[in-house]
Amino acid sequence: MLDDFISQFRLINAALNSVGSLGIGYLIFRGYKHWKGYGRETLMLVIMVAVYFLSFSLTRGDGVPYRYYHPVVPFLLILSAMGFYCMGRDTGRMRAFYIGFGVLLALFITYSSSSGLRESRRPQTMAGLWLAQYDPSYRGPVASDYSQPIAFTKMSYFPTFKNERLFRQLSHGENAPLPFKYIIVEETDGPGYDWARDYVKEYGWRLIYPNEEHPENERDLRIYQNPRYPE
Amino acid sequence: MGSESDSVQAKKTIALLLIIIILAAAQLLSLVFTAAGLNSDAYQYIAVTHRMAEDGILEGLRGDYFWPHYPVHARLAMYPLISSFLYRIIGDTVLSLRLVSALSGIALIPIGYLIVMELFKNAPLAIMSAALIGFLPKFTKTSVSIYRESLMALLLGVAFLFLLWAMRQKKPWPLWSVLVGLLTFAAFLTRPDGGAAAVAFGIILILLAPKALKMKRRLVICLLMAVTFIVLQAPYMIWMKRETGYWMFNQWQIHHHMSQSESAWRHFSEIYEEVDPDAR
Repeated sequence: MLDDFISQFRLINAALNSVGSLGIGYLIFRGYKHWKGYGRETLMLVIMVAVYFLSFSLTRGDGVPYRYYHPVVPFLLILSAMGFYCMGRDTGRMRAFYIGFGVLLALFITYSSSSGLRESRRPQTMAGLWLAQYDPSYRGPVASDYSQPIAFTKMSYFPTFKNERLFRQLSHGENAPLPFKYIIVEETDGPGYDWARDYVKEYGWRLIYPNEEHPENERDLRIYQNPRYPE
Repeated sequence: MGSESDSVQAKKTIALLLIIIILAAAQLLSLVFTAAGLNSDAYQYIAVTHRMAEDGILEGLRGDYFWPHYPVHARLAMYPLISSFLYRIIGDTVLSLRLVSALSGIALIPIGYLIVMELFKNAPLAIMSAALIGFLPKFTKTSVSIYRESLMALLLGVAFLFLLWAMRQKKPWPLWSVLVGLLTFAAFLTRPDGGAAAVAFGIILILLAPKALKMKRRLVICLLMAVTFIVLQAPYMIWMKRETGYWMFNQWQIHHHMSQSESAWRHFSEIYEEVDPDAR
């Protein structure tokens, strides 16, 4: 239980990029001097965060991604700004402090703009767009390690993770009710997914991606086609 | 002289706020249009948004059409619902979902400013808060992802602001109270922790409202919030009972009644006699 509480601080720190936590830390130590008389208002902000903190601590522990705190980050950032304001007042040189704060914001903008969003998932996007163009009319299921490639097609997603038995019931054998046309694997995944990699080799599924036009990708994502479907 | 100087200060503050909003909007929108890939939850939001736009809201609330084929999907409705309206205009589900997240992130900047002005009446603090909301990197990146958290942050922020206005008895305070109830319901339909936010609002109202707000008025505001929430929540719960056979507060609780594996096997065994649910 104590670990669950402590892990919430780590998550909040992650959600605030650590810099925001500095402001809150400063507020805790110096807030009494500069925000005297605003205890009630400060407590309102704290309660918004505390309710989230308690509910996650008691129910999910450290299984919570830091983005679950996103809804209360604005309240945390107001508290952080209060701490930074105290910092400025303590320096006695507010103008210089504001310039420094502006530099910090400029660094934030530079950092956020330095890399695109979800760059590591680009191979999944490329594969999905390729599959949508390769077979625009297929609406059936695709067994895939990840859902992202399927999101770019009109096909439906069937996770490979630990679903071998259901897959075989649906698709295996001469009179299979739902023969899957494609399987997508990413070679870097571990137990639970590996049955699909063995399956395509055992039953001679055809590797259609990567191909000459789209060579290897950093996720080692591969698309195989069921030999029951003609080319 | 004094009021002229105040007026000049106010104009400078508003100008700064506008600069922050424009810069943050430019950054968020550039991230939206240059995003390279999707996060893991995106597939389900895309499916629900598309279904709501094409076949209607109730059809979109049902879950049979995507893995694991729950009778109602566990992805709460508000984020894909709002995205479905945008999808009808722009015709691209991924872009619609990202834009709803991004626009929520942008709208939160003036909301944060207004909250600080309401609580502290301190313009420099309000500008600093707005700037942090607009530019903190992790907050920025989550605000353009296909996650419901960005919309949730906006709903909570606006509800909190309206609660402050109701507590200050800013006219018309009964309307602000009803709107807090409405937004809390919308938040509960976005993420289950909307329920926790409702508790927070109650604590703030009863224990931390200004001294000028008598307890009788606090209870009236609380009642207006609660009745609004219940009036919206009740038909939703009845609908879920009809669809699933279970009494639930929201669809996310379907997880507690059937596992993904159980739901998937049930779905396919109902369609194909070849599938034996006992083989699970």
